[in-house]
Amino acid sequence: MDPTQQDIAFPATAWSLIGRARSSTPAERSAALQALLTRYLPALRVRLINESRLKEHVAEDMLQGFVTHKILEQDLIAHADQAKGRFRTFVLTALDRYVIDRIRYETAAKRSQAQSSSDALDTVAAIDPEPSRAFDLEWARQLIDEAVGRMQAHCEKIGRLDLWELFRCRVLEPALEGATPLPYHQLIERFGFVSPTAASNALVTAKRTFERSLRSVIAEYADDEAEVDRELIDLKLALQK
Amino acid sequence: MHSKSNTPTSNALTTLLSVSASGDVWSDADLSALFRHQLQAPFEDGTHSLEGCVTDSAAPLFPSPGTPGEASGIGDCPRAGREGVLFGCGFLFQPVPRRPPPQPARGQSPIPLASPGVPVEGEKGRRKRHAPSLEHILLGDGCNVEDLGRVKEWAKTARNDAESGLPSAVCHVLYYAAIAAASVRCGRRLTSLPRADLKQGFIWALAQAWVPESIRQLLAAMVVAIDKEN
Repeated sequence: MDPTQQDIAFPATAWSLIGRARSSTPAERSAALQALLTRYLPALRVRLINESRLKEHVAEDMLQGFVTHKILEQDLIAHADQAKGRFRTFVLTALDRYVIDRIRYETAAKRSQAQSSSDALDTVAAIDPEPSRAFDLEWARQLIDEAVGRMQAHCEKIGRLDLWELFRCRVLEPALEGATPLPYHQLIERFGFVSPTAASNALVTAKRTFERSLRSVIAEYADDEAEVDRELIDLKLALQK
Repeated sequence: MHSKSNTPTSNALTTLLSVSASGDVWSDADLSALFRHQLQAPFEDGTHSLEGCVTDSAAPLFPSPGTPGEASGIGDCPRAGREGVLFGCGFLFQPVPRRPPPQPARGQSPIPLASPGVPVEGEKGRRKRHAPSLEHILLGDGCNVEDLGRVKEWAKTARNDAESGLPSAVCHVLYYAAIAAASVRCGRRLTSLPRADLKQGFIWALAQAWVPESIRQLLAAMVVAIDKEN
């Protein structure tokens, strides 16, 4: 069998992190939420600093509070109804609400800082509830980052680092760093492809592996394949704004 | 990790979000190298016969459009058209890796080497062929319509097979090159496609910057032949 055609199927996500977040086991729920939020914290940080105009240390404090109180304690994600909208928007709305509630609480508690807190409240309340381009960009970065890491780990695990290398020098580095893709003649020398079919098949396999890896990351917060497709389209459109 | 050390732009992220197994990523320079590599790759035929796909030498070089029983899609095969089988003249061969020639056992006389494309008797009377390269079939001395028909069919099959991995543009050019070689070098037609469609295909192939000069000359000669017929 042609080694480029052997089964290198990317492991399917048995159940999404959202599913685990809805699970009845507290430990499982906590681990799932932690994993999801940790991955997308940079995007949430962009929201608080760039759009809500919070100072960096305040934003960090808010994020920490959001994760520990709003999410972990109140099981916010466990109540997320995917049918009502995208997960990104859902998390964003929850964060905005948390920030508003927190500022109101602090305003009431510290009368002397009322004016500055009130300004912050106005700023947060006025921002668009939809994800901004900066937020989506940061979200996409985390998504790609995770997918790339997952693909590399998978290729290592199945002993197909050649696929990872091929993807890296033909697709990843040209996209991320503007590097020139490794020319075909160097490709066949480096990887020992005996025919264009072998080279093309290996590249197709590498790209497919990444595609599956990417979808597996999205599938952790999307309910089904159709939702994964929608999220991909949505993110691409958001980045092209 | 990769993107952690960089700050990828939205264009870079969009590119990566759009990565698809079916999308071509070869540049013209890559296609040129890939095509040359393909030309040098040997072919090995399978068990299917080509007889039904090779037309009578007395037949006109190009049929009139709309000839009954002949389809009009890419790489039409008369037998496939008659039998209603999509790849009725399909062949079970693929480009195969170059292998070192078999080493004769001590005291045994070496197996006589055959010219590429010339059948030789193998062990136990099985007919074996030394796989000729695509370049030899398309441009080499002599004329082997059967091999050219195989190249045409293989290119058509590879082009229609999303899993073949070969860029479709390469398959297209090989397909037209096989038809051109059969016509220009052997005076035989391998297709029932209408002249206008064929000419369009050859002109498209000639417009591909990565097509090597030797193949380009073949395609250009074919265009001249079509024009003369008109």
